[in-house]
Amino acid sequence: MYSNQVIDHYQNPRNVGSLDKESEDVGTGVVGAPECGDVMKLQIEVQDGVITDARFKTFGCGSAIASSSLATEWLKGRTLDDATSIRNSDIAKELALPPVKIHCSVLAEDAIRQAIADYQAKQEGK
Amino acid sequence: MHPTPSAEDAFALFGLPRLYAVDGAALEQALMQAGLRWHPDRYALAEEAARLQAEDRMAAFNQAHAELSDPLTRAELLLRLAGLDPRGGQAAPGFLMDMMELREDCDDLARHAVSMAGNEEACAVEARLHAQQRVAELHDDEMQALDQFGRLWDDAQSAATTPDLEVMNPLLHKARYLRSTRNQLSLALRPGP
Repeated sequence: MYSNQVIDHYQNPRNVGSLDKESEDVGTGVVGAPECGDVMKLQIEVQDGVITDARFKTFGCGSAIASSSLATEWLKGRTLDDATSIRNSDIAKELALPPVKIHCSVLAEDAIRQAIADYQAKQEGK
Repeated sequence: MHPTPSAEDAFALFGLPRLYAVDGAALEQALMQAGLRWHPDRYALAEEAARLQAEDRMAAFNQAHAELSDPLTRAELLLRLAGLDPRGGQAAPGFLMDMMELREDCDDLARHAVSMAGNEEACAVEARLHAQQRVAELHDDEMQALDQFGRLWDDAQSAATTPDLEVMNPLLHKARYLRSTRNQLSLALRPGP
């Protein structure tokens, strides 16, 4: 039921780990699916408006892990504006997710948005 | 969305009231009675129709027994029977972050215990015990959340009031997260093949 792309990200997840969530340069997004108990954390580190690093930790199914792994790959090197243009449909397409797993890519998009919003809130609070 | 509850839901099948608090002894007794009446062994030489019916009945009892024995599925069934969505409700802010930290913490515990597996020194034994203790704590916390749900539900039933789902749904969410965290930790601690 999993595509080769999902299996690749699942077996060799990119950018697993954590950044210091207290740092002013780091934005953190934590999202979950309370109906199944999955939870996903995605963090970005931003320098001069550009995402220099992205990390994730996901406790969930292979599709959720692959979606967040791919998201961190795509985020690195993008400007914040550019990052907000990432859509769950792009993630789902790249990973060839079946319809029942589309919600995993939605989680990843939500996590990206939350991480960016968290970073921006920190900057405004300065 | 959800299949309409059949006329014979698990509570009805066992002749139990639709409450979270179940009489465990009555449940076991009823399953035993059902087994005496419907066990397929008793129908080995019966006509095909009777044999199939007995198989169906026994399967229905076993399934209903499993659903009622697990407090989480029992709670979900109560909501469904009341026409409510057992997976509904929003997670409170901060809740997911807490659950994430709990997962990370348990993940570290498991890694630590597994990395020292095979090592007979005191610290290795201690790491494993620590992780196993955590499994037990997660179980207790889950049961506590479910029992709290059950008290609120049963109280609302006996007072004939509407249950406060804003309080109750998060308890079920919490129970599900604690269970998946516990399952993952126990799986990691299981000896390899």
